[in-house]
This record gives sequence, structure tokens and C-alpha cells, in this order.
Amino acid sequence: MLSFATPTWLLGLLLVPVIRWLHRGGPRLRTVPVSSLALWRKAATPGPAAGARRPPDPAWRRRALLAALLSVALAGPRLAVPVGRVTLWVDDSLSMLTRESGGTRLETGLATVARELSSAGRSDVEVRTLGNPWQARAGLTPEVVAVLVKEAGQREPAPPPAGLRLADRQHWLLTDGADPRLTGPDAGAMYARVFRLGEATRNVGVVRLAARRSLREPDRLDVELQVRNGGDVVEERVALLESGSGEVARWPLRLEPGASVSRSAVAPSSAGLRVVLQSRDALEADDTLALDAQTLAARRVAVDARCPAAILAALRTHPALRPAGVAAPAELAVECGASVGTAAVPRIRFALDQVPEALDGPWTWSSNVGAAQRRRIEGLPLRAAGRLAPRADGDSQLLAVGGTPLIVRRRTGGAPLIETALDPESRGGVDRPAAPLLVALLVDEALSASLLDAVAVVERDAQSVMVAPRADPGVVTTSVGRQVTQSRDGTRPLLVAALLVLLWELAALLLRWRRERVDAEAWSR
Amino acid sequence: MAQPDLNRPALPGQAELQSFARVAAHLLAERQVRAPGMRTVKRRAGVGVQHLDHRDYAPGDEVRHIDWRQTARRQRPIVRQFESETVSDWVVMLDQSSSMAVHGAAKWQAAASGAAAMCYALLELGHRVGLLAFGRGVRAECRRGRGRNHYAAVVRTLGGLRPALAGEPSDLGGCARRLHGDASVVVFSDFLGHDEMRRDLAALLERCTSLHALQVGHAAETRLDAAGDVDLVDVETGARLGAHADAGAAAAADAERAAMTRRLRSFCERSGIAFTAWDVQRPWQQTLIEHLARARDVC
Repeated sequence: MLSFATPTWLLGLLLVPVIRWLHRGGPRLRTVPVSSLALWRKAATPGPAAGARRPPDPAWRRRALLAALLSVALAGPRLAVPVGRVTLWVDDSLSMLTRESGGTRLETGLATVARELSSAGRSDVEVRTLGNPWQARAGLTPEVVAVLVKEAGQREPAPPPAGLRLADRQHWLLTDGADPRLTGPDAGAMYARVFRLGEATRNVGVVRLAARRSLREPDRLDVELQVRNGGDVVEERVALLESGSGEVARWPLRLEPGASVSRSAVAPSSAGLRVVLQSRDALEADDTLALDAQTLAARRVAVDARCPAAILAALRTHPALRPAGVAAPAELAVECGASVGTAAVPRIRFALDQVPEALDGPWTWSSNVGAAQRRRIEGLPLRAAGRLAPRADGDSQLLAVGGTPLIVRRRTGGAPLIETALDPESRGGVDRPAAPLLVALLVDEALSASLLDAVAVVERDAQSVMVAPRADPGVVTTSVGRQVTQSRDGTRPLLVAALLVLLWELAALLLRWRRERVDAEAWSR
Repeated sequence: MAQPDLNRPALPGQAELQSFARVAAHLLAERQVRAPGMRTVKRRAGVGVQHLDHRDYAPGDEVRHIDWRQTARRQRPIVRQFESETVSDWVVMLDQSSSMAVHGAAKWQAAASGAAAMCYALLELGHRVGLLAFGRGVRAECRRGRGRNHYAAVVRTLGGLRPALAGEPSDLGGCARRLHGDASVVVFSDFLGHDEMRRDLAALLERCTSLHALQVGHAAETRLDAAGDVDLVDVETGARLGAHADAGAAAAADAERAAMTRRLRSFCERSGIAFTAWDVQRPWQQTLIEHLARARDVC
């Protein structure tokens, strides 16, 4: 079906008969001088008969074509062409792994779509997932189906980005409808067909598991878990918290539809923690949640024996550190005059070669030091017990007081080296020793981590445990899908064609001009 | 259309002219004038007692005519020429119409070369020779004279001639009125005028002792460097004719050209005019010698 954006321009087609009329005089013949016309009497062409017209100049067709092409191009023709290419968007959220009577929702839905594509004769199909929309897969082959099933539930789905909503393709969606964001008014309008599936409505899943070091018991972890009922009926479950050494805690849970409950426990330090819901449901993938607690393990520290007792005490009381012998492999070394670590190990070096003296002058912090740490240190009555070597290229000054550097990060080419001239034995009073906070700051800088605030968390989107479909299952063909054709702009091809005809006309005029110029020069002599 | 070379015509060199003159001398010296009004004319190079000029020795010359003084001075054999008792006047008429300028002016170049050679040969024999270029009227004239110096005047006249590219017809009959006294006439023309200029030749014949007509032609005259429908323009009259250029048209033009030559030749045979159709592709020496040999039987 052909339509025009501005049909008024089609009036330009009236130029065609005008051009034909202007060329009624016949072609402009090439003039050839001869020595005598008497030689060519028999080659003379008969003139038009009485009442007959001369044939028009054939160039009128080329010029009329140019005018017609320009007129139609300016009218903005739009041609309806059938849309044959399909992009299948697959909802790869966790709920698509819900097991139904014939398998998981994803497997069942992909099989349904494959049958539909085959029956519709669509061969140009690309498959994208809502979790990773920028990766396209060609065709819905068994290999692609296997990859989709394997990778489902690993990323949070989102509506397709605008850059991929191409108008020259039909967009199909496979979803269970459990996440209303994916089929909302904005995203849903682009789909020609929506395959909805899923009948299960009951599910309980673990959505969060977090752990941190216990401040009271250095060898234990404070654990918190959260369970949510994603179904539409009241559910009862038993949650088990397990560590590497066995079961830690057990809670019987009763959850209202859509409600969440949290439970806390203290668990022994372990490399991993796991929560398991007993009495499993259709979506087994969210019944278990495992946490890697390796990041919460205490770091081994090698300490110089000449370090003051205040430093040793501070290291022992730090919940994330465990002093080790000089011979044992350490992750951090603390030196007070002697070397106890290699360049491959982060080191803290105290310069204690002078009589302590009070600090005098404004404090200058590096922007790398956090504001909370600054406030902790600035409240202490610190003294300087040594003098640091001048700063070299690549060194960064973390703290200076009155222009005197007190904490410096040295550039060694290996692990970080933190040097300080602050006196760890400074005391503001009996209850406020400076060493623990100072050591905590130095350790965090040396290890580039915030050890006191470390929390290990694993969680999943609360929406991911919602499995109840928001609409009845089936295949919905939208108004977009009923449009079996798409409008294609035909202006550009017509303009290209007009340009070619124009070049043709210019070439013909140039040839005639050259020929006539040669003839004119010959005659002018 | 090829660009005509209308600069100074490339006239034959001295060696070519001398070679041609020696052959032509035998053909011209023993010629018997048979035309009406025949009479004896004076100052013709030949066998006589009045010394006329000198020239280089050629095999066959009388040894007793060698001028030993001039031979010693010029370091080459020189013979004396004597005034013949039967010298005559000649007028060479050269067509300068526009039809001579088409197709690179090949016909004009050939005709100018032939005219120069005829003048040289006749002057070598002691004749008085004049040159007359004609178009719509007389366009240039070199009055009759004799001797080598006069040949230089002829060459100067020829060098100043340039045929017009268009609008210059041939009026040979009108020029006949410019002939005074008895003279033999040689006409170089393509005879592409009305009636093959037979009426003009007849008028000219009335005013001359003998008449030679050399029809200059070029094969390219019957070819068109274009195809399809063309607008033909007669370079002399400016008349136009719509035609379709193809191989058939060229063949028809060839046939028409042959018919025109045939009619002209028949007329000349009946009228006692020495006629030769000259395709400019042929060398002028061969054409002129054949013409003079043929003219001995005609004139």
C-alpha cells in the first residue's frame, strides 16, 4: 500500500505534459557541413506529412522523468512492506525457573515459541534476554535454548533499552508476567506478541544472608537472614542456617503472602554459610542461599619484637587481625626498627627514634583518608616520636601537622609501605589509649580495606521470588502484532534515482555543448 | 569535423619541381595547338637563337649549349636557354570556394601544389604564366609574367590565399571575363557548382586557346562523421537538408559523385577540354603528368 506524507507535491506531475509540449519541435539535430548538398539528395529524410507532427525530442522523456521523480520524492512516499524479522525477548528472571507440570516455565515457553515460529515460517529470528539484552543469539536452536536455561536467574531483568527497539523487526516477549515492570505500559507497547505462561502461585524464597564479625566474640560471626513469601497464600517453612561445621540454627517460619521475616544468629567463623528452606516448593532455586565469608577471616600479622607494648596490645584487640610469629606466613608486617616482612607483604613502619613531643600546627589530611577515620584520630592527644624521611616521587602524604609529615605511603614497587612518626603510646587518659585507633587506621591504609566495617552479604531481588503470574497464560497478539506490514520511507531511493537522471542529463548536455563548440570553432575560421 | 589547415599551403620543393618540369617539358614542347583561334605566340623556351635564361644541365641536353663561363662560376654544369619561336601565355585558375576547405582542406592543399607545379613547369619552358584564384569572383590574381622571379611572385600569391570556410561559392564563368588576350587555361576545381560548372567551362573555352580541367576530389567528401539524423549544411550556399547518415547514404553519395564526374568528363570530351579527375590521395606529379600526356591528344 502506497501512501504519501505531503501529497500536494504530486501536483508537480503536471509538469510532465508541459515538458512534452515544450519538446514538440523535435530533436535538435547535429549540424554537419558538407561540400555540396547535391551529393546527399538521396539520403534526405522525408519531412512530416501534411497535418502530421514531428516526433518530439527524445530528451523530453529524461527531463520528464527527472521532474516526476522529484515531485514524488517531495511528496514523501511511504510503502507498506511485510515485516518478516523477529526479535524474541526472553524473560530470564528467576521466576522463569519455576517448575510447572511440563517442566520449568522457561523450557515450556521456549518450546511454545519455537513451534509458533516454525508454523509462522519465520526464519530470521534473533533471541535476546531481558537480563543481558545486548547479547543477541541467532535462531532458537537447541543449543541456544540450553544456554538460556543455564544462564537464567543470574541477572536482574529490565525492559529492553530504547536502542534495541528497532522498528523494522517484530518484537515477541516470553514471560510469566510475575514482574509487572517488564510488561508495563512503556515496554509492553513494543511487543507484537506476548507469550504468557505459568500457573504456580506458591513460593517462599531466601532473599538475603549477611554476616559480620562479632565485636564481642572475635571468633564468631553475627548472621542475619531474610525470607520472603512470594506466593499468594500463607506458607510455613523451616529455615536452617549451616556453616562448615554443621547446623547453626533452625527457625520455624510462618509467612503471610508477600511478607518477609528476618532472623539473626551467632555462628562460628567459617569460610561459608548457607541457608536452606525445608519443605521445598516449585521454585527450588530460591530455597537456598550461600554466603562466602572468606573476606571476614582474621588476617595474620607479623610483629617486630621491639614494638612497644601498646602496639602489641592494639594488634591483639583488633578483631580482624591475628598476631603470628615471625616465621609464620603473614598478610601484614608491623616494624618498629627491624624488618619482619618482605616487599611483597604490606608493611607498617613506626619511626620511634626521638623523644616524643606534642604536635603543633594545623592538620593536613590526604583526601584518600575517610572522614570518619579523620575524626577518630583528630580527637586523640597524639605526639610525634620520630622523623620521617623526605617524601620521594610517588610517595603520598596521608597526614601532616604543621608541615611535618606524620603518615606517608611509600612507593616501593611492591606491596604498600605505611610509615608513621606518631607515638603509639600517646594517651589522653587512662581510658583513651591512642594505639588501637591509630593501628586500625594504619592497617586499613596498608591493606586498602576497612576491616572493622567488613560485612559479607548475598541477596537477591525481592521481586525475584514473586512467581504468581499477573495475567492468564496464553499467547496474546497485540495491535502492533496485527500490523503485518510496516511503513518504509521511499524518499531516499527516489532522490538517488533523480540524482542519477540529473547526472545523465548533465552528461548529455555536456556532450552536445562540446560537439557544438567544435563545430562553431570550425565555422568561425 | 576535422580542423582544416588553412595556413600557408605546403608547396612542392625545388627538387620535386625540377624533376616534374623536366618531364613536363617534353610533353608541353611538342604539343600541337589545335584549338580554334590557334596562332603562333612568342618567347617560348625552345630551340632558337635569342638567349633567354640559364638552367642546370640535365641528361639529354645539347653539350654545345653548355655555358662554360657560368659552369665555372657556379661549379656545376649550366646550359643556356634560348627563346623559342612558339612560346605562349598560360593562366592557372584555382578554385578558392568553401567546398575546397572541407575535410581538412585536403583538396585546397592538393590544388595549390598542382597549380604551383604547373606554373613552375610552364615558366621553365619560357611561357608567360598568370595565376587567378576565384570564388564568388576573382579573389586574387598574379598577372602574367615569365622567369624564375615570376615564380616567386606566384608562390607569394599562393601563400596569401585562404579559402573561406563557408559562404563562398564558385563562379568560374564570371571570372572568364577577366581573361584578356589568348592564353591556355588550366583550372583546378572540384566542380561542385550547379551543373558541374559545365556552363562556366563553356564560357571559359570561348576565351582561351586551350582548356585543361582538373577535378579535385576527396574520398571523405562522401562520408559523414556522424550517424543518425543530421542536419546537412552546404558550406557554399548555406542551404540545409535533413538526412539520415548511415552506410547507405554514403554509398548513394559515392554514386552521385561518380555520376557527376561522368557527366563532366563526357562534356569535356565533347568540347575538347583536357579533363582529369584527381583524387587527392594520388601524388600530384603522377596526376599532372598523366593529364599532360592525355592532353596532347585532346587539345
